[in-house]
Amino acid sequence: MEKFIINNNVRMMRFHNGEMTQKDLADAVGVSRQTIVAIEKGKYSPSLELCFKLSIVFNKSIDEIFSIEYKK
Amino acid sequence: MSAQEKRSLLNLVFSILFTVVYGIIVYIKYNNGDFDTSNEMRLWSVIILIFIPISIAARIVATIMFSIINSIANEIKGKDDEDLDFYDERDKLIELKSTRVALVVFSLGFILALSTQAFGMSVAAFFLTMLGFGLLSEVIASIYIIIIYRKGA
Repeated sequence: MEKFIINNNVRMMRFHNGEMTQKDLADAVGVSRQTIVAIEKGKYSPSLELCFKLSIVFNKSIDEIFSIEYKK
Repeated sequence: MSAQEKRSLLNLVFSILFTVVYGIIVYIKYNNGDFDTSNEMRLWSVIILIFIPISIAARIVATIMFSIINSIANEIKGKDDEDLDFYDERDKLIELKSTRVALVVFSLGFILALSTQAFGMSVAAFFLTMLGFGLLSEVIASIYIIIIYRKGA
């Protein structure tokens, strides 16, 4: 299988949800603010459970929040 | 500094401080002749068996005190109170990775400790190697956690 990286639109989703702060999002999904920072920077890939929680908070499907990009 | 980094730093400082203080107390008592030194194996076993529960109790007290001081400091600064005991999935993953690092270091220490006996060194050398690598594994694991949090990974 080709190698890929996981991108996300969490920062943009927060913006479209009334400029939700990282702390507000962290509280909503039950993680620390540092975890949200790491996800937004693409340095941490969340568990499937956290992905679902994010999709519920943003009212979007998981593939609208996360996408993969194949490495060339 | 985040709550997670503070927690690791507390663990790092406490491990070094407590082991050094306990080591000094044991050394002074040993020099004063407070211990029965006829059976070295028994002596070292007692020293380590006492060290373990005292270390756990002291760590709990230190964590509680630090949480109180941290809450007061946050209150004064007007910051949102960060829960030092809060663990999420990323914290657990980082802790697992640091435990693996600690285990590797301690295993190395155990092999070295066994080697001291294979080469006919004293029982003290065996236990000191074990204690030394026990401390080293905790220090390295704490530093590893702080580095990972600093990198934001």
